[in-house]
Amino acid sequence: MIELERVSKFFGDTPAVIDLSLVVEEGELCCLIGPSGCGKTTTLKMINRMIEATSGTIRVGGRGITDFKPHELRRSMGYVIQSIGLFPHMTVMENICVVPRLFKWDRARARTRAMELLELFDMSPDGFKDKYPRELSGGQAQRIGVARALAGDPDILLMDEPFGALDPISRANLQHQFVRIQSELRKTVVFVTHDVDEAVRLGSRIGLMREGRLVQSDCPERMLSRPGDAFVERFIGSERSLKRLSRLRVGDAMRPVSGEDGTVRSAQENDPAAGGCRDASGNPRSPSAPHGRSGVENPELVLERGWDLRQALALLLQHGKQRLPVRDENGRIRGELWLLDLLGV
Amino acid sequence: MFGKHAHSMGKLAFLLALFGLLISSPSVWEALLGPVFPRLENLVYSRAPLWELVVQHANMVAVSSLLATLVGIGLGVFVTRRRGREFLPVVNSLVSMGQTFPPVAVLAVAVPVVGFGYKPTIIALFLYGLLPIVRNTISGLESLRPEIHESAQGMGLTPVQTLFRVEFPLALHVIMAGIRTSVVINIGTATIGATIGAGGLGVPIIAGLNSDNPAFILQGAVLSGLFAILADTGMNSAERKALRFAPE
Repeated sequence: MIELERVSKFFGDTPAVIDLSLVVEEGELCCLIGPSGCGKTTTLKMINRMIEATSGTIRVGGRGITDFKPHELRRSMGYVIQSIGLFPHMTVMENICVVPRLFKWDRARARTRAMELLELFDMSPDGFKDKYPRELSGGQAQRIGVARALAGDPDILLMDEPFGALDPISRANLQHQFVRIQSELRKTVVFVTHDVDEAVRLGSRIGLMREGRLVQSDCPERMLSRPGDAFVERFIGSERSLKRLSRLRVGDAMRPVSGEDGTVRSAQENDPAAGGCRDASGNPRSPSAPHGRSGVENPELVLERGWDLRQALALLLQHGKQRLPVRDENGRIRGELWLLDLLGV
Repeated sequence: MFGKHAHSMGKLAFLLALFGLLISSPSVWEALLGPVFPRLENLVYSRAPLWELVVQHANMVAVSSLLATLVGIGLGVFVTRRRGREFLPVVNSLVSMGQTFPPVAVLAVAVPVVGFGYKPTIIALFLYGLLPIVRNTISGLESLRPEIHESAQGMGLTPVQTLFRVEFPLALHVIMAGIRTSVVINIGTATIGATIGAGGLGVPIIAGLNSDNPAFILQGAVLSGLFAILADTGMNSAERKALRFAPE
């Protein structure tokens, strides 16, 4: 748990953070958002004393952070930055093991932990452990950056626009992965971002800052449906209802399948002639003929149960579909998502 | 990569063999220099065995280089820390002066203070050898991307741990190049020690100058030149080996 009580930071005479009070409960993912220069990164850096607060108190797990030596405090927290900062002269394995080494874990324990973390991020341990940072793509490097922050098993994770330097696809992938990992690990996370969509997608709580002050701090649903003032409303942006969709999963809104074999009849099967194949005599072929076509018209048009509704809506609209099948992590069809149902959400 | 390595090892072995031959066998010199200087009576400097001069020379270079390395790296680290940063221009000037001031002039100043021979030569060589090491240490340490410092600090590495586990390994290549430059230059410069009785490979050169004997001069010059090449090749090899576990 992180408590900031009336924290201020002045650089000379210039205020960067003014009288900020915020509590981040255990297991919460608090996203700090706001325009450039609002003080969100400064606030984050005061938690691990990379920047020292001018006044106010910051407590972590009930104890004031000034009770600890700065480097001790930082070892108990994970720190992830936008530019990643992996050490170029160390392999992936050695990078991840930096904090465990500082804690004097024995090599076997550190290695096991590193392998576990690589698995957690869907990166093959044997494939990646001996690679050097220069051999990694941006998405891979940042996964290692987060893994490295988690290596010492800290309770708290501080993240400063961690996915900001990635291309949109990698960013979306990492956001998904992080949501999944966070639901397993339940770390206390403070996440700075200027991307409202990212904050809404990831955060269990959002803190909006402006010119050094905390303007509103709430769970995303409330912030979206009841913005505190005109500034909040403007910053959160238009299309609030669409943003709300990104908080919900396909699995929550779909109509579950009832068949024993898990098959869902696609629109195509109702009309064999529609876009289907015809054989030499002009008779419509059944879609499951040895052509290699499956029961679904386009194998790509299947939704994953874990995706959010905003993405699902985009796909439905893009392909002009009334509904699409939904599959789970193992590829089994679990239900269908109907466009009509989304309108009622 | 293996081919390159074998090639340089071969070169090193050849140079060592050649050097060894030249310092141990006066007859080789006579054979080489005889045809060049047919009318010269004394072809080989014989007042001291050549290998003894080499040892004296190596000693002076080794001691002064060791001192220059320790002090040079120390200064380089100091001025790249937050507390020492304001001293960067001062250190830069002092160290540059150390190289602009001719070593002979340093000798002239040092001899009345510390006497003749070994000590003033070491002082002169030390001052002369500082610049490449300090410059390269600063350059190597400053070339680190700022996010590396930030993530090291954020993870909880102390400044000392950051220096030894992160900064030095990444700057090592550049620092070693600086040390190598300093050593190779000093091998040539150490010949001035002969002017004040410090011995070394400058002795036959000075003797040759005094008695108008070009064969003596050649011996001193060739040996110190070869010594410099040997040192350069050897240290290059060592650098490459060190690089293997600190790739950048």
